[in-house]
Amino acid sequence: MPRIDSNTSPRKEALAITCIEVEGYKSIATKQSLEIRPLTILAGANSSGKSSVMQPILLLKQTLAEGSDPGAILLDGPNVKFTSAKQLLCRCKSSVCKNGFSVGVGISSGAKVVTQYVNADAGFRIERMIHATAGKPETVLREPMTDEEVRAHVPSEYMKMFSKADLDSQWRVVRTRCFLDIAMVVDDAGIIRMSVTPIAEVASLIERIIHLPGLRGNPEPTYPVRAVSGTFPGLFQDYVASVIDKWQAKKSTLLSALKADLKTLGLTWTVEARHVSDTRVELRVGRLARAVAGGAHDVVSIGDAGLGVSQALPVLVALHAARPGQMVYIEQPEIHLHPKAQVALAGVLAKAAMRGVRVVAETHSALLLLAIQTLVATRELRPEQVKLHWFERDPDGCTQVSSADLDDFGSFTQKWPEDFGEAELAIQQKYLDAVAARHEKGSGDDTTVEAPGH
Amino acid sequence: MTRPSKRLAIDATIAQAAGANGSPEQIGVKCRDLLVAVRQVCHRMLMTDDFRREWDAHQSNFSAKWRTLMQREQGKVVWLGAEHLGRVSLDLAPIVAVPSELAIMNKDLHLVRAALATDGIVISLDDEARRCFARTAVRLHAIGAVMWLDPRMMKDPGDWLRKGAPVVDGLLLRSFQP
Repeated sequence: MPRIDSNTSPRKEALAITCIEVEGYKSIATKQSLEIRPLTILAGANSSGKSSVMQPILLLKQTLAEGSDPGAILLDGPNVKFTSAKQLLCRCKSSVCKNGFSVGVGISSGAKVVTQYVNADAGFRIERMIHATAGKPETVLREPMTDEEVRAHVPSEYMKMFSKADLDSQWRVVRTRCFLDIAMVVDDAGIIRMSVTPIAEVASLIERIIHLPGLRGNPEPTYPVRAVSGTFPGLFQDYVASVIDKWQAKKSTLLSALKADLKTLGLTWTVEARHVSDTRVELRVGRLARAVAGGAHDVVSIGDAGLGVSQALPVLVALHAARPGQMVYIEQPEIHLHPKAQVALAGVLAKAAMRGVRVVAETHSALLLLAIQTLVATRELRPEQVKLHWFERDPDGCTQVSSADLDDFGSFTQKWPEDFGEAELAIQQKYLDAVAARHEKGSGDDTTVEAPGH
Repeated sequence: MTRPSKRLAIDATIAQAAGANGSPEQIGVKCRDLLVAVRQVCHRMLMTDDFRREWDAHQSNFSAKWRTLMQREQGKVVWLGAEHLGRVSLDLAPIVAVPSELAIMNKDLHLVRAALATDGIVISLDDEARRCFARTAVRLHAIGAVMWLDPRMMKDPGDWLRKGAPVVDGLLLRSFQP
């Protein structure tokens, strides 16, 4: 990877999610804030709340993407599935918000929207929404609000514009999927929505999140054809074949970059899409990790390749398909990958982050984390591009998040509660001590087994 | 209460022995306990180019993992540059007449120089080097103030580290009877 040129002038950054806040959701009793940087790592023990902190955002994504209005929150969608609203409420004793939850999203323009949802009618309704734009005071919206109350939040230029129009109208707060907005209700003309709140920007960023769950499905003989644009409703693995097909048809450089990454990870030397009908696409990959002379047609269906390829391919495609500012949320990017491939994957994640993609990776891989620290130490990744969040549960079962940065040498600047490497060191010590203890005791209770061939 | 943190010159002999699982006197167990305690108690490890070369050449898998964990925590590995070591100039040649002794001491001189530039503590299993330095301390008083800990000489080095690694007079180089 190229080293960072400190003289490179900073480019104008694309609009991106910079902060997520969650409260009252599952094990997250008290407000937990996550700063989102180009490469954000979520780590911690199993069931510590890593997925739970991202689920409310995914609930918003699937609510926004649903064809018909599902209400304030779509509980059973492609990204998150619940059968009952109660399943996502916090049961911790210390929770102050037992009948609902709140989600906050901050974006790089400085705007922030915090929405509180309460359990009602077997689902959720919006209790209130607090929004703020950079340099301006917070505004609280709730349903219903009187015409007079709403007017206080409408900018004067809007008021002037509409007063000239002499419309028989009233200002109201209206629900727009999972958010509240200000609208002017005009008799006989319907609702005119205002862009007074930053929800359009926030909603667009949430809708464009690319989600790769930990279980990325079994490889299929063929995949349905999907429309490919910058937004990928549902799960990203459903689009992978169509994205590759599109890049192939357009002879896009992204396909070459994808093949280079597959080779870097030691998975395969090529990937191609082939239409088997108007509605189905087959994915084929190189049988070998490296290209060999005369092996141009040595490809097999992805269903016949190793799981490492089929599970890593959606991750690599997503990282290249994402545009600057777009969030790619990957649960367990390392699954089914050999340790060497896990190390190489860190470089691939870093390259996407340096391109401006917001990569949020939930991981249990000590190697991936160490490889990211190494990229910082070798100056291939800037420390300010990385944010680490450690999740753990307190005795009451509530999730607590500790955050850390990296310094120029890739070391944690704040106390990192428990390093994955510590578990390796502890088991290594236990093993060596156990063998030493056996030697110390002597051969009395020792059974020596000779290796075959001796 | 903040635990006192000492900068320790840890020899590669410790790094090597920490990977052992059946050596005499359970030295592997002792060295592993010592390294783990260093990290837990928030003591720091000294590093120079010489230390790095020695550790790279002799460290066990266990020590490599431990060293990586130390490096990943900000401030746990203290790199000493020429600006620190330049203040500690030790020319042994005019003082040590026996060439074999001089060679032994020069090989481990980086430990003593690093200790003198910081908190004065060397942790090493190298008995021979300790004896040579102790003999020389009679004439070169500066090095007599260095505490040289061989983990085999202390019942519980982990306990000593947890108490803040205080100077033990009996382990100063000037205290050893050559």
